Amino acid sequence: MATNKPENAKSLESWIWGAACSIRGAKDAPKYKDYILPLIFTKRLCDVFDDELNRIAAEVGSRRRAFALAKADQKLVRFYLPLVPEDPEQPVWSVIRKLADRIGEGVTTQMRAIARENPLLQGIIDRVDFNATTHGQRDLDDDRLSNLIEAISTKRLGLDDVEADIIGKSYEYLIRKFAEGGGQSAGEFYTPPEVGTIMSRVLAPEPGMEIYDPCCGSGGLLIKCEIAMEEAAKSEQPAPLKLYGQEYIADTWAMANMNLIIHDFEGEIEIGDTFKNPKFRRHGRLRTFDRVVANPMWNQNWFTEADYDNDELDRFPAGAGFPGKSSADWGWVQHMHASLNDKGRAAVVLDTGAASRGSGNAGTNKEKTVRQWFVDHDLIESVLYLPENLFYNTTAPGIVLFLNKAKPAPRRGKVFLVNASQVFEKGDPKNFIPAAGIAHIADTLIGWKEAEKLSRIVDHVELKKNDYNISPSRYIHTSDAETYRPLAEIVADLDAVEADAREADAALREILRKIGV
Amino acid sequence: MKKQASGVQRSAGDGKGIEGDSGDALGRHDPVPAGWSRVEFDSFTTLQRGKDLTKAQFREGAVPVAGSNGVIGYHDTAIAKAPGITVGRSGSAGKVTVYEEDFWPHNTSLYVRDFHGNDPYFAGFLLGTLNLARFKTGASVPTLDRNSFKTLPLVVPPLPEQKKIAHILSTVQRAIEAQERIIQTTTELKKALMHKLFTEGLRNEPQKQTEIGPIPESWEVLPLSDCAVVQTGIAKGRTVKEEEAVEVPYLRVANVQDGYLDLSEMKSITIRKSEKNRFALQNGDVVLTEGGDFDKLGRGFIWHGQVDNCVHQNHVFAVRPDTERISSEFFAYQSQSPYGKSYFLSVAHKTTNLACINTTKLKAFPLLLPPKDEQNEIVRACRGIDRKIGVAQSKMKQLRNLFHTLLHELMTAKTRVNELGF
Repeated sequence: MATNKPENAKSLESWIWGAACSIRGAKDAPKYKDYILPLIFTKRLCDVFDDELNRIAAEVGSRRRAFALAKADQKLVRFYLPLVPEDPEQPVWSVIRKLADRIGEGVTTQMRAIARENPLLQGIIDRVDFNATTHGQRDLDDDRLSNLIEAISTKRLGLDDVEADIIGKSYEYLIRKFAEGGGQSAGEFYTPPEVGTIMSRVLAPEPGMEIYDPCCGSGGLLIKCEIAMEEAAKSEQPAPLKLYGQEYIADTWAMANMNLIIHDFEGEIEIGDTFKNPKFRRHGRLRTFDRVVANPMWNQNWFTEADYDNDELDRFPAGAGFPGKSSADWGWVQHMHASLNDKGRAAVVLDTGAASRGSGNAGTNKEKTVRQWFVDHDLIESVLYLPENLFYNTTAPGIVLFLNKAKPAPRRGKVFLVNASQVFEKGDPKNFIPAAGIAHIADTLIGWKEAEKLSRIVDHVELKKNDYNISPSRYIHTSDAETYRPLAEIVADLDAVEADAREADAALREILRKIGV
Repeated sequence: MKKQASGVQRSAGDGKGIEGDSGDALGRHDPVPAGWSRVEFDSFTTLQRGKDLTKAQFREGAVPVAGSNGVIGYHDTAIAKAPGITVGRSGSAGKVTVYEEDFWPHNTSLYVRDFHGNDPYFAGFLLGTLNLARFKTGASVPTLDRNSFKTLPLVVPPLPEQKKIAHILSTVQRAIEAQERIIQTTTELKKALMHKLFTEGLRNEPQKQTEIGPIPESWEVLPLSDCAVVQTGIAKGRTVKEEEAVEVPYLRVANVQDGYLDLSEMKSITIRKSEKNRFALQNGDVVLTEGGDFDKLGRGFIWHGQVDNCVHQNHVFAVRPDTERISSEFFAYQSQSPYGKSYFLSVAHKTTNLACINTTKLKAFPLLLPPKDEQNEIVRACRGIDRKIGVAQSKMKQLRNLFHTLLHELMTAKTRVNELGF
């Protein structure tokens, strides 16, 4: 069998995107993401299964016997695939590749067969009907599907070909490309990687910890936490994190599952509305975690006061529970707070307005009251103000709020604010934070390092004076607005210039006198 | 000669002086004044083409590289001694620049290789009067060939008189430059002072929080529309029936400058008689520009009824303050202060290098409203500094006139200074 090792992740990324574009070009690729993602995922499953079969075959003599053995004892392999090529020497994927007519139907059938054998994959790879039609017309006709399968077939994605982190990175890259092309809806499943990297580095998850994302989208933030932990870990093989996520949209939930499996990370992704029905519970109470991350959709307005008041899980404190109907941002913060254990820490992406709405108003404001509750209980460790035009569904800048249930003593009574609005580079279609900027922002947040025009430690007294406005832009001005020299300095300059002028005038007058004017 | 803080080179003329034969310098047909002599250009000053130096070859240093229009960068090696002169060769062809520091003449300029014992400063002034630009050739990038004016006849005084002439002219130039720097420094002072006045006020009061930031406690913030009427202007190019037409002068963007009105050229427009009042400017209106280049955004000043029956173009807004609450001058200064400008820029509709505000945005301008007597004090401070700039500007203008007259008188020997001792 030909091994086709990719030189590096970059080439795998461009190959994977190239394959995705084989349906109808780059412009339309995002529309077909629900076909492309499971198919590439299945290719990886097939090639890994091949590798495992070969390993078994080396012991038992032939692939034919290996197939039989794997079928008899499915525990021998990670995912047992009921795809058996006529010639057992052929790769498993050839079963799909050789489909000649009624391809859509064939692919769907095979995917469903795989799911039947693997409860972990149920609802994930068998949810898309490749044979689906709209008004008698195939959504993805056989010709195009065949092109896609051929494009995917050109590279082998087995264990020996690509490491889990590389295929995982490429899979993330593909999801990112879909997000870029997906416009408005993309924000629902994708958080820019820079933001995720900063959040996860600051949260500093330790080996074996339990991480939770109540609105996990495609799972990117959870994955970033695992990567940050592995990078920071001292040992070669740190105990992996346990990742928990819940996602409301079924397609996205499936994406998160595939994303986690392809990365080879440990995790559990539940489906459903976290706000009204959080799935992770223990003894009738909300289950708690070491770290919680999230980028909930901003300013959701579909929860009513009753949803807060009738909560059976004690997530919303009395008197400071309902943040107002127009935005559930602080409702999510409350849910995350309730999901933290005693030493837990959380990071959440929110609309910029969540940091300032209601402050400075004459009357009372529900959202401000909730914010005040968090300040007064000393739960807010820091707030990061992001550059604008970073997120896929909005050009608004957004903030990251960091919670800590056990702030170290020297940090109590204070909040660290970082205004990173200038730390970005222009990009198309979206701005991005360069690697050096990511490191700088993360280091600043971790070390509480104060810097001119970037960061400041603000104590609760000052926050109170500003009516609990915690927006970094309120306290740290980064504008390159003209700076003015001290007036005294300018006046001194002016005096010197005027003395020069008097001297020049006198010299001139003397000359004119001599000339006889 | 004293080095100038503003730079090591000075312009000796734009090269558009009057023709050598009949203007500021004496030429072929002029009689030779007593003691002066006829020479050809090349034996007075010999020019040489500068040396190429690409941007990549620039090495960090303090030696100015002399391009056709002045210093284009710095290098670590000089190949020409000070004082020296360059004449623009390609680009700003004919432009004469004097260098008072060793320099590197770039190949886009010519430089004087040999002064033949003449005074370099005098040579600089003389070359400036020769209008060398008239010798340039070539279509897309006109260049100056030094051979084309090698034999240009000149009449020049002996060295001692050259030195005296140069001394006199340099003294006037020094006085002009001093005024320039006064204007520059005072303008900086005005900006910094306005920034202070429109954020802290004059009373050293404690600050209070508002949606636009901290302001002194006794101040208010109100939308402009609460304290003033914004009148939009008239669009050009409408057809008006003859029987109801009336021609009136109208104020254009070009008339509205930063902090003053330039009414030197007023155009007129035909409007309906019935519209005269609707678009008329009234004494005390603050006229503001809608935009254009970034620097044209929201600039303006007060209309004092300088022209009767004047209306304004649609690209100029007229803001008519409710004088009970706010004086015209106070609003005018506030709008040109850093505070006002940054508001206009922040709300402007921006495209590359162009910005524009609309009436809605102008009406929403968050007006800083101090008590009336503090308003007046702020206006007095701003007005004082404006007056200082104005004085320096008119003084500079007079000095420039003096320079031109003296240049002419001295170069044509109408005024002789050979007998005078300096």
